[in-house]
Amino acid sequence: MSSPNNSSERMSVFGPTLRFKGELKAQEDIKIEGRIEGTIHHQQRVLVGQKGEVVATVNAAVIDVDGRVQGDMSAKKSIKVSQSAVVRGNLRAPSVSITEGANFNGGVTMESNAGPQGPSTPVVASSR
Amino acid sequence: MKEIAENRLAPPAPANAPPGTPCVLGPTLHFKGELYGEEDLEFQGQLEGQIEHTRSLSIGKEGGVKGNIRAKFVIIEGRVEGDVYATESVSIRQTAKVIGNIFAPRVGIADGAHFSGRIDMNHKGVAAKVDTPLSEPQAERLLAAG
Repeated sequence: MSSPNNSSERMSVFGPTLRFKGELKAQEDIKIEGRIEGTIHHQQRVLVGQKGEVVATVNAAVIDVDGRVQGDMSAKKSIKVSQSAVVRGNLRAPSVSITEGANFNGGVTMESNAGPQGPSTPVVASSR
Repeated sequence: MKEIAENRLAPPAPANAPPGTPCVLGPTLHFKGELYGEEDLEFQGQLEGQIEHTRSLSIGKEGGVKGNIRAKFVIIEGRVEGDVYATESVSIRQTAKVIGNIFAPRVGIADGAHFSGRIDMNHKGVAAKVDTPLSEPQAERLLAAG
């Protein structure tokens, strides 16, 4: 099931024929349908579409994977690996979900603060 | 040209748009590296490096590129520092600021645009050269022609 993305009318789409090699930084939601090699430093939501192919270390607030990812992913909020996804790498986020049917090889760490790589934004202490 | 203009004016695609809608890269995106593409692209972000494109590429008002650009059509509304190679045309709009050389058979610079560099409209080989290297006689002819 593809979730409705109504809220993100300004979402950037990295189209299926686009290929990028290098470092990507962004502060807005992005949907990746193309191929990215390198690193992604993101402040918002990253969606790797079904045609998307990412060979990179990914840092973001929310990561949704419908496509292929090879590399470690670290999210401040959550990582979702959907049924069509093929993931090879380690996941680190306070909330990780993997849908049955997904192809996943790697480790999962559920921690509230994405420790080593995220000094850029202050950790919101959600004490309860 | 008309086609492109219409494309550019098309309303922003919804997130779940069917494939084939022009892709837009937003203003907070910062790329460092090489970007390749084979679909119409509107670029509003920042890029340091190279762009190689086979179709229409538009650098939006908020877009900025430091590096060389190759594409079929290039429309510039933002800032570009580097050389621009187009197989069809380069259009520099009013809001643009371009520092670099332009190689394209057709070039337009709007009143109000900032441009400093050289323009070469007889440089046909350049963009095509990527795929098909010139044969020797062709190259000689080009050289002889200056």
